[in-house]
Amino acid sequence: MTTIATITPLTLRTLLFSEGAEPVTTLAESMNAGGISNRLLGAIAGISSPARREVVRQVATVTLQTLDLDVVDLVIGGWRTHARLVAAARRTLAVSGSEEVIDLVSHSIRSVHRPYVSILLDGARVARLDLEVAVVFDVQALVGVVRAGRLVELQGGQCELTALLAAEGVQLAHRHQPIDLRLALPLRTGIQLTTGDTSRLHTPADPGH
Amino acid sequence: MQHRRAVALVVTLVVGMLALPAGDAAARSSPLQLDPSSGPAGTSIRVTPIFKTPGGCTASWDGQPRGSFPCGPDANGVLGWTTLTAQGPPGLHTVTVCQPSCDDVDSPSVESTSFTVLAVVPDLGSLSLADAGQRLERAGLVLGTVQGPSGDPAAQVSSQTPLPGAAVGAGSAVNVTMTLPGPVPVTVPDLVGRTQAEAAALVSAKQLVLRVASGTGRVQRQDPLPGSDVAPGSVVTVTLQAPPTQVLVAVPDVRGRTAGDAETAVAAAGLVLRATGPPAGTVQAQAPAPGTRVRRGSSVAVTLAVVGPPSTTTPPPAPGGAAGLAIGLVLLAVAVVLGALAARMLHRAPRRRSPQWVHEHVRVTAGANPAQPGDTQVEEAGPGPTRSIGLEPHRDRGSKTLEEVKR
Repeated sequence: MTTIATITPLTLRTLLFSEGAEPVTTLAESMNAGGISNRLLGAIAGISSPARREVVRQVATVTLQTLDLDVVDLVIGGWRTHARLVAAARRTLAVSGSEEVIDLVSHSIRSVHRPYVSILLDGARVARLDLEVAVVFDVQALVGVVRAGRLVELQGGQCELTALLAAEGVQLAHRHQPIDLRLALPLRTGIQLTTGDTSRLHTPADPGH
Repeated sequence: MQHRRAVALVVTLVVGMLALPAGDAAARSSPLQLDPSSGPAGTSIRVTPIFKTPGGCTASWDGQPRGSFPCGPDANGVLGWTTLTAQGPPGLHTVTVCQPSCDDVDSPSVESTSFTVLAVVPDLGSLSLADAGQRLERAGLVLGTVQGPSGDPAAQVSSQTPLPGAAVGAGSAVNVTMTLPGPVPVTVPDLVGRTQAEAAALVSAKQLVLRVASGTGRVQRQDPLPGSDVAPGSVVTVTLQAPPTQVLVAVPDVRGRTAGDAETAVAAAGLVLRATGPPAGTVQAQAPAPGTRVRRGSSVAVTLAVVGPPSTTTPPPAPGGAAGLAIGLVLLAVAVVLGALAARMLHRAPRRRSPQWVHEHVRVTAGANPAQPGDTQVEEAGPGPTRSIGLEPHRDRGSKTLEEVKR
């Protein structure tokens, strides 16, 4: 198992479909094998087989577009709900030149997305493909340094990333991989931790689910 | 004072056992009843002296006074007794009762006997051999036979006899079996209420394997239960909320229809047409039969054949009336069947469109609708009206949750 050390933005699309054949073909084959193509095409009558195949390829293409989510944004979004990090950000903003070292303890950030693709036949909606994208970051023994409201340094620790794409209960793609957050995150400029919205801050007593 | 008591007790015992006549010895140093007579430290012992005269007694444990109590027979002849708690290291300990007091060096009545404090076998699980030996020594026990890779410093105790908690005599041997440690167990996450995708992600993150027993939707039950410690790679079986819905549809009657009409009718029912025979033909046979209820998405196989116009050739006069007519019909039926078979063999390959046909008839337009980024159109122009299939992606910003893991 290799550790992902990324500089260019890492999206769920590249994470899930970076191995094997061309992504559209891979996904279209998974949709065929899982019976999803048949269900969708059942709603589209009166077109030729080549057109049907093209429809499946285009559904795969559109599905891949919904996976253009920056993995780093998902981690940062999770940490912006981390009560201790956000509290440290506020304190360091309030006291100029101050710095705090925060033990992030072991935690997991779970990001679940439910995009969908509508299928129209001659302008009328005839079917819908419900997708589910789940991403879980398991972070262990990580220490963060917060300065002027921004996360500027990470020390120690490790992170394992699990991503999964499913459609209507059928798994289409899956990846489990360690990720080096120190390389993946834009720590040189720092990550702003306060967004003004504090309604969904999580504390250890409120695990957030 | 303590020293004086102990000396007095020893003197009294020696005198009582050796110097006195047998009858007096029975009166002055008769057996002391202990119930039980052995047990681990902490055991409560009922101590009953067999004195013939009522009065006050003092009890002692290993020469240390433990209090006074009424002893001897009461008005009903019931002997007085007291309770002592066993203490000290495993081995023999002396229980003594004096009437009235062991300090009375002149004429005490003394009863004395032994109580065996048993050793409690400690739990040696996961200890190295050296640590197990030290723990046994502290408990007053010794290491017995050792099985397994005892020479490997990484080996740990995996089983032991007697089991932990057993009370055994001091100095008894405890036998152990050593094994090399396996992979670090992982804790099964709580999957109940999660979707299959979430469950798969959580399970994968723990290096476990998800198996869906049945159903769709969210997880209703799981095995092993949340919080169980299992070996990495173990299977977590989940039962989802409802069994998969079996949508049954009726197979339409497409006999006599053209291939295009048949495909439209079958697709409208949620089925897939599989045709063999010349594309210009009409459906001569189909399977499953019309009206049969099958799962949506199933295939309907049809045989196409080109049926020519009825022959206008006047048949020759029948040589034998009705018999000739029957023979003619049989010959005609054989000819039709052979014709259908020949047509099927000639056109067994599925209908394939050439790349040129696809290029001319199927058109894909991405971004056709500026108001809907990612919108895609697939159009097919054929002999009938042009069909347009649109795809509209709908993104989801998603929901994020952060959960601290208690370790």
